[in-house]
Amino acid sequence: MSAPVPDYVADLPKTELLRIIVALSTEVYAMADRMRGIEDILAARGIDLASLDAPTDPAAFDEKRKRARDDFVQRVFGSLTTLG
Amino acid sequence: MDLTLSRYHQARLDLVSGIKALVGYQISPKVRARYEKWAADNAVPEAKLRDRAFLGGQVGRDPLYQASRGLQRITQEMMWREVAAALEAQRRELESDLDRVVSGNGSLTLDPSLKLPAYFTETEFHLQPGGLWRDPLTGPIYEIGVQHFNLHRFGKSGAEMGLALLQAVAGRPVTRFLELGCGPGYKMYPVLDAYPQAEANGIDLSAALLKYAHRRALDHGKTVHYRQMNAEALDLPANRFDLVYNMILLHEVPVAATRRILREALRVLEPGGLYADLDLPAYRDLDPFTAFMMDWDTDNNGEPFWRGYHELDMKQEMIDAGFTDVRFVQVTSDALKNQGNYQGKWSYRVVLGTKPRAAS
Repeated sequence: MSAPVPDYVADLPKTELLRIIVALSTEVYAMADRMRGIEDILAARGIDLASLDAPTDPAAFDEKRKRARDDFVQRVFGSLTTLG
Repeated sequence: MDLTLSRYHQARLDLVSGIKALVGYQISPKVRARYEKWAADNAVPEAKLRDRAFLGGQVGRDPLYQASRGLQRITQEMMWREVAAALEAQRRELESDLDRVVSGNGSLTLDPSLKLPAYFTETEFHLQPGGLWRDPLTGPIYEIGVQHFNLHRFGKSGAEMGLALLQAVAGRPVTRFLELGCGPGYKMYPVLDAYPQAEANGIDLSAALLKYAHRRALDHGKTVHYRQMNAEALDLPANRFDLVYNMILLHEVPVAATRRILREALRVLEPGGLYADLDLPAYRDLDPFTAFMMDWDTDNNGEPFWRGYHELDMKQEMIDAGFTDVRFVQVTSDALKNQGNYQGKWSYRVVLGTKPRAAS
C-alpha cells in the first residue's frame, strides 16, 4: 500500500537546494576539521576519547546541545523559511 | 532494556528532529499565514477551502509549502533509517533479551496461528520499514522513532496520550480494563498508575510489539496481561471489562474494521462500562488549513486509513454500534503542558460511550 513518491519540491528553485548543500558541506567540513584538531590535542595529552561514543539522551533534554542543534539547522536550512 | 543510543547515532537523530522542528515551528506557520492572507483577500468561502483539490491547487504552488512537505517526507524516511542503523549494532543482544523468559507479574500470550489482516501486513505505518510486525525489533524502533516524530513533546515517558485519556475519563472507578492495539505498551502507563489495583490487559496484532511491551512492563515494574489478538474479533468473554479503550488505533484501520472493533468493544464491556477512543480531531472540527495539512499524511506518511477515520461521523458510528451517552471530550496540550516538553499546541479528541445496562 505504498504510493509513488511525488516530486514534493517541483517549484522549489534548485539553486536554493544547491545553496543548502554547499552550506551543509561547509558546516560538515569545518566541524570535522575542528574535531580532528581537538582529538589531536587531546591524544597528545594522553586523554582517552572512548567516552565520546557513550550513550546519550536526545538533545531535546539537554538545553545546550538543543541550542547548538537549532543554531546549526538555522544556518543550513534557514534560507528555506524565506522562500516565495 | 536500555535503548539509549550512542552519541554518534543520537546526533544524527537530533539533526532529523531539528529539521522537523524547523518545519513544524517556523515554516508551517508561514505557510498558514500566506494561506490566511490569500483566503481573506479573496473572500474564499469555507466550502471551497474544505475542497482538498482546490486548496491543494493554491497552497501546493507555494514553494514554502513544497519545502515543508519535502523535508517532512525526507526526514521521516531518514528518521527510521537512523533508528534502525543505531540499533543494528545491538540487534543480537536486543533480540535475545526480547526472547528471554523472565519471571515477573503479568503475562504474555502469543497466537502464532492468528491470521493478520492484509491492511496490517501490507502497510508501512508512518513509513516504518517492515510495518509494525516484520522486524523482531519493531518495538524498540517504534518507540525511539515516534519520540522523534513527536519532537519529544512529552519528554522521555511518552505518557502524553495516556494522560490525555485520563483527563477524559477522570475519576471513574475501574477494576478491569482492556487497551485495544496497545503496541509497545508505554501509552498505557498513566492508566496503570491511576488505577494501580485494576487488572490491566492489552491486545495487539503484532507479536513483535507485544514481546517488547511485555519486557518493557517487567522492566518498569508494571503488571499487564498482553495477548495477541485481533480487536475486530476478540477471543474474550462478553461483559468482562468496565473500561475498554484505544489510543490512535482507529485511524490505522479501514472503516469496516472500525465498525467491527466498536461492536467487539461493546460486547466485552460489562453493562454500564465505558469505551473511549482517543485520536486526533475530525477534519470538520478543525479549520480548513489544519485539516488540509493533516490530510497530507494519508497519501504521504503511510497512513492510508487516516482520511477515512477523520471524515467518519464517530458519534453516529458509536450509536449504531449500540453505545449510549456518546460524547466528545477535547483535551489540549494546555491541560498537559506543565507535565511535558511542549512547543506549540496539540489537541486530542476522546470519544466516549457507555454500554447500556439492559444490553448484554
